[in-house]
Amino acid sequence: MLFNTFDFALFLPVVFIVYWLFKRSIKIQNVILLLASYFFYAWWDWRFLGIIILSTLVDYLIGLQLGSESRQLKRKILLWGSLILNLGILGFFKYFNFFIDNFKDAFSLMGAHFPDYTLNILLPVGISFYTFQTLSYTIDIYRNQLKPSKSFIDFAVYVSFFPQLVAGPIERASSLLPQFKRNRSINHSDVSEGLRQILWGLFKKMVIADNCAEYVNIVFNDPGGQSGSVLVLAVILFAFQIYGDFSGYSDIAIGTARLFGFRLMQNFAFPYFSRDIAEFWRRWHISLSSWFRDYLYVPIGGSRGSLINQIRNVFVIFLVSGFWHGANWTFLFWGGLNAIFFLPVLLRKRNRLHLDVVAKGRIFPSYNELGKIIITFIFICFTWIFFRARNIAAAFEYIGYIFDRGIYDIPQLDTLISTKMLISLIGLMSLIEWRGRTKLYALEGLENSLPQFPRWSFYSILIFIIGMYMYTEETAFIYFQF
Amino acid sequence: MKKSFIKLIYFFLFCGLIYAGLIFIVGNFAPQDFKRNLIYLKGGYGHTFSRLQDASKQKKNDVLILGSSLAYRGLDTRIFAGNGLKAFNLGSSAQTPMQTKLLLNIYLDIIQPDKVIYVVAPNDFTGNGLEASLDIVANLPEINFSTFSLLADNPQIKLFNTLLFSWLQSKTNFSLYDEPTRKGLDEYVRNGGFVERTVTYFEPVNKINFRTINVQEKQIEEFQEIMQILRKNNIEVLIVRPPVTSHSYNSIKNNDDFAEKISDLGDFKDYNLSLKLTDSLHFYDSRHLNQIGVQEFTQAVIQDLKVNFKNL
Repeated sequence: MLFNTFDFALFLPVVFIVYWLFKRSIKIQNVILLLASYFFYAWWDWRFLGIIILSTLVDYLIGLQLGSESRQLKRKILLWGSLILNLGILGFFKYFNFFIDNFKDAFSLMGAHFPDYTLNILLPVGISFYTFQTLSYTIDIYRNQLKPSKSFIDFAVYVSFFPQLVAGPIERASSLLPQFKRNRSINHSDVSEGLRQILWGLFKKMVIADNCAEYVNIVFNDPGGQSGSVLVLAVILFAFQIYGDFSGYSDIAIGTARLFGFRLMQNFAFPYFSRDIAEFWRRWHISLSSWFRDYLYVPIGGSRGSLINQIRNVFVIFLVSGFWHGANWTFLFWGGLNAIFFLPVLLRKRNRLHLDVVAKGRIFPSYNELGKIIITFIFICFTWIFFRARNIAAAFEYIGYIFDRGIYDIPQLDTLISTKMLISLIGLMSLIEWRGRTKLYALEGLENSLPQFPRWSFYSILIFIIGMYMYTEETAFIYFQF
Repeated sequence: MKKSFIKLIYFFLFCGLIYAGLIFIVGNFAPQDFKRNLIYLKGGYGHTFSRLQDASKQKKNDVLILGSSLAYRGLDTRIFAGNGLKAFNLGSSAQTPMQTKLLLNIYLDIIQPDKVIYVVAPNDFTGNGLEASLDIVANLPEINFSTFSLLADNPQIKLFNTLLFSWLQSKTNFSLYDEPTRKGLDEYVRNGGFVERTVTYFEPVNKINFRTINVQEKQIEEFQEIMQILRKNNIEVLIVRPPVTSHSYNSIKNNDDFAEKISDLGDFKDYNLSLKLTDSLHFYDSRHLNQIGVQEFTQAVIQDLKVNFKNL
């Protein structure tokens, strides 16, 4: 079930009402959430429910064993059991064909030929997200940072909690699991904040991301037939597409969870206002970046040790992060490119230069800040070409076309929404996000800064913009494929 | 929680007013670029405005013609009149059974036909009919609660916006529209609903893209409901599939399946099998008859009507 569908618009209020009818019993509430989450997931394909249930069951049992086991060797075996099972399932569904294809290609270069072994594998939606969520649970118990959940229901609903099941934020057990064990309450502020965040997420997804996608798809499917300026604009629009899509999803997920009395972590902190690549990666897909930092980067040494080790660690985390996004060399290349851009910042020890929000306490950034923001954005856009391209050769071809053709003409493309209109809408989004850049999301706490009439008018206008300019074909969220 | 619900209800009322106001302003004053999801085409491509205006003025007709552009461009009501039959053509562009049912609900009691000729083609049963709904909604003289029922079949934002705007326009009489009888090559026949096109000829192409038509069950259900409505009103129905070019007809691989499905629902005749027409002489495009073809087809249908329904 997609957040931006009529189905979800019916599903959410029904679950919300049933859930709060039982506000005196957290056990019943958790069962309701579990059933709703499985229903939500089964809406795509009920067969994949088996994988979630298997993963949940195994990690629940391993968690209990880890909690009661003091022998280090056995604890290690249990942890590896969890890692092998979870990463094995993920690896099979996501990477099997990639490895087989590349294995065959490598051997064919040496003259050996193998029959076709690729399987027609359907990738279960959100598998990368819930796998990492369950892994954090067993690793934290192994590290004695978390007590195992005694209740299977609590753990199962932690793994499958529908707002963030298919595209995050990837919640840590230490943060989310305790919330299933305590009484939840809801007040007017929670409802209005939740709905406001959902509204903002829908705007970013349905108006910005989906309309950008139409333009981007046309250009990336036929870059040879476009002018240089159209190609450049398509890259910039892809930057907003992926941001609107993924941060929009996160906003809807966080807002939805809030309606049920849960607080999820911030996943995007206005990344395109970053002044360098290090700041960008602290602000983009925070739940994944911090997951890799805590469970991969720090354990292998992080920014400690020799220069060689530091460089290696940076490449490891970015390449793994790239590979997490998909079984394609483009993602690895994208990860590697980010590592190359990140290294100078790290080696000059300037990676923690911009910890605070840009232009704090001021309305406008300084010229220096603006310049840094633009340069960082250009770097990021350059990496997105590899992320979006069909393969690496196509990405280089795309870059070649940009420089081959004139980039000074006004970009024009025949899309359902006019280019001028689309750019105006992106400008509107950027202004609102700039205004709210110190908050957890752009519209947070709006009721404290605006009286009711202008505030309600603003929401209504936003709803009107969604109604008038949303892309009308149903589109899935990009990050579902990861 | 109670406070939230009350506030939410107030907000929805407030939002509804703002939304309607903005639709009205944007719909009337903004350039086309700003109306992405508002498709309000007065007149449409087939004189829908004039036809629906005329439909409101009809009384006691012998024959009512239903269907898509194949109907309003295929059956000439003047030829019916020449044969002593008062006929009105209520076809509209890309009309599917969903829209036919809506139009029947509005106009059946006004037009009061004795017989119905329902023009069908496989394409009418394959989509959701959004294009046709938008065309009708923009051109109905009055939008009422039953018109909004279209949203139940087709819950799409474009339809909602267009319905709302059309309703506001009809309530405020803000923008009065008068459709010319002649638009390009099309000439509308007043009080008949038929659109005559200046005679041009189809240039046949050799390449045929074969395809299989997948009829939607929802459209078949709507079609069944239409048949029930007509039966309930003691109206006899002749279902006809009009001639199209052999090129177009042969491109559909499952014509027989379609014929079988429709035959199960009523008296059905496929004129592609009985009327021998020539692609380059009787058509102006791959699916629509030119006036020479229209005369042949209309005469053939009138003949069959007289044979089938003795009381005509």
